[in-house]
Amino acid sequence: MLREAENPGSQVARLTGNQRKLHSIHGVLRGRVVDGQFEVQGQPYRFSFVPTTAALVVGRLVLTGRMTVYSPQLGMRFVDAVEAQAIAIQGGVGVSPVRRQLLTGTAQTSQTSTSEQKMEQEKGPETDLQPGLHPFETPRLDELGRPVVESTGPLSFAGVLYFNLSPLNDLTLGVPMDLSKVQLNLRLAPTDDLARDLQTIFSRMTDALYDDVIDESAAREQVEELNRIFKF
Amino acid sequence: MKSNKVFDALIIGSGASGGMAAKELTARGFDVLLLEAGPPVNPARDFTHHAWPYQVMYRGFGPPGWKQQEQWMQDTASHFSRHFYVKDSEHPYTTDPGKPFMWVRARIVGGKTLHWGRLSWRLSDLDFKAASHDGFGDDWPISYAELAPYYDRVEEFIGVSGNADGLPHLPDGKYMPPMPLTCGEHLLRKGAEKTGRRAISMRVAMLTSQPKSFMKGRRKCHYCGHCGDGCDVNAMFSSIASTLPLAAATGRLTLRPNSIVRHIVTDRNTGKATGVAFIDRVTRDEYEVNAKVVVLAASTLESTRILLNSRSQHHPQGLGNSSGMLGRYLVDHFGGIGASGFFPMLAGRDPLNEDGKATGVFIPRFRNLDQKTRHPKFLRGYGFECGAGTSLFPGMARRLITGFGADYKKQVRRFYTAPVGMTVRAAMLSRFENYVELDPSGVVDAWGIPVLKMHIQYSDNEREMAKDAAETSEEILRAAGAEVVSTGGQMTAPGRIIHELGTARMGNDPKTSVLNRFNQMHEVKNVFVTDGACFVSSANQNPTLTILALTLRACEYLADEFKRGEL
Repeated sequence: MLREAENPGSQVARLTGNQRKLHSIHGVLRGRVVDGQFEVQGQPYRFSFVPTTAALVVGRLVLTGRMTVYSPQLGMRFVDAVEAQAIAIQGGVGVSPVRRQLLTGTAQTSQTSTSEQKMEQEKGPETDLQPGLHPFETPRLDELGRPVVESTGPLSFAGVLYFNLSPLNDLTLGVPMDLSKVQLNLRLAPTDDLARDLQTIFSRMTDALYDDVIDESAAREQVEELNRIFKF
Repeated sequence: MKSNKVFDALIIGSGASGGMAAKELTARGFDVLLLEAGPPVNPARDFTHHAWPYQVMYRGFGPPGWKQQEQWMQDTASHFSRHFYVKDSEHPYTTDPGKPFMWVRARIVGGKTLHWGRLSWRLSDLDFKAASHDGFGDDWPISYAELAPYYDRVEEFIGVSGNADGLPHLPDGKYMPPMPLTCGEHLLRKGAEKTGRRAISMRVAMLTSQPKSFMKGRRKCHYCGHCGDGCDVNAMFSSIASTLPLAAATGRLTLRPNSIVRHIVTDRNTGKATGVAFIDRVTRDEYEVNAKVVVLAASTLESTRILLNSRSQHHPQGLGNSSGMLGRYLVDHFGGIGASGFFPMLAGRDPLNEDGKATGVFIPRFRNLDQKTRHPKFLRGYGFECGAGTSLFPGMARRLITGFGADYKKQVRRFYTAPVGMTVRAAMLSRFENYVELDPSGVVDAWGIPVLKMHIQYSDNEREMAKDAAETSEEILRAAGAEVVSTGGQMTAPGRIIHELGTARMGNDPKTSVLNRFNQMHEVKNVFVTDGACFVSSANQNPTLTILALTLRACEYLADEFKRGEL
């Protein structure tokens, strides 16, 4: 088997010396809380971001809330009014999330957006046990009778949202890194009802704001929905 | 700290192409530095083959949520192989809403050769000269005759099992004996023939007879069926078993794992490459290293990403991209369409260990080969990957059979021996409007390197092909005597087949291509791109064998030019 030359040593030139930047952190949505962890010099730092308000700012979704970091040395530190501006998305691939009526009871204003989605919502495993397929993976044909593409069109959903965080103070949060420009990667992989609702809202929001055609009024509806949820 | 060391050649990536380049260039006397973005691999520690699901926590499914929360795009990663794949949490990329792309990546020494599908088909002039054949797109700047000797050498070196089938559009090579078909696959083959199609043994890069003298450390396949978890006997071709050990044995290879290339460094005056800048994945220290020639083999989209990130005064749109073609013509194959069912005559027979044979039967392309086979609604064609026989965790247990308790178990046992399935592998047309770019909103990865934004969608051509494949697969299954349980399906999202190709294509015209006919950049003579980025069109065959042959050919040319002082 191959043995690697682990350290070519002086054959390459080392360049860096300044305080390193924390470029991006990764979190998963649990309920309304973004939970995650990053490492600095081998030490794990847990963090959470709890959004309290949502707004549209220059055509972009901005969440504002509390950022808390659990430092191994200093314990819990937090900063309020941290702004997270959604800058881009990654479309999800796989089984579309189950669409359901929102917990906030505002389903009248938050109905599924297409008849296909409604059909999907209404269909339960009990009524759709077609052999060979997951209950929510019914084969679909387009208007010309051709197979559709998974996770596209009405079956699409947002898998990740990328946010730019407003500059954070490394001393306040007890993180020995430059936190002036941190990107938050928010993975939407819901395992609870609230997170499912939020994924649905975020998916509609990105459809409205981050595609070729922008629909600000649809986006504003979703912002209202977000603020209703954040008030609970 | 500045190093004066200048390597003859610097290779980025240690997968199929990078490994082959390292072997070839070190054999020709080059002092080579190989940078791999991921960690080293230790088979004794990292290969978990032969482990039964019941021997591990969570019965082989892994801790709840691990895939969805850390490696959601790494479709083929399992609990046993997840360490071969990147964590999506650290490796972002972006798309537009509703237009997803699945990017499966292996950042580890050996790359995707640790778990690749091993199917090894040649392309023919029906593929290299497809535009001349049907009028769409562009021909490759090379012909089959030019690449055939390199196919020969690659097949001989990596070891491919299969048959010479005499199909002009799927040229024969040098093979070890094929893996035998199962009973169900024999039935399927006969069914295909009834409908006028051929069904042949899959050609796979796995040793089925005694290894040749140069295949040190490799053994015959013992049919354990755990190829995707890493092969401990090296029966399947991989960089760490085949190319890299030979390169290391020359004493001229320096392999540096955990080295994430940020960009290629160029000379301010000449615009030529002088080396690369990279980041240590673990320490996050930044380095620069010098080389006379750079070979990009980081995988299709990673290579293009590095080129796009290599902006300079000479190359403001990315290295060698004054044409604006870098990133364009992204393709993948599509799958997801097919049919499945069972053979009643095989139900209830004594079970055999059939899933140890990690290969099956292939129905090669039969559409648009000539005037007689022309399809009125689409160009190019597709093949079917098929399999039949018993398997661990039979899928039909949940798909075909309902009920519970003793009767359910009895039914599962009865049909366990009878399943059959076909799934399409289809060509996608290379179109200018399918492309990648650096994410315009500034998203970066965990090391601060700008990431790609993908723009790719199927056209009507692929959708019509999918419709035809759905109908044809059902026709073939019925002709074979199978009871059809499901047909159709959904076309896979682009990327899922892990055959992403193009974005730095070859061509004779620098205005419409990035590389010349020897994988050399038109605009930067000492930079070569040897992985799937160079493809002009996708064909419908698995691409790795062609990537290996092109790499061999490019390195031969590179070495000659180097000696002549032309680089």
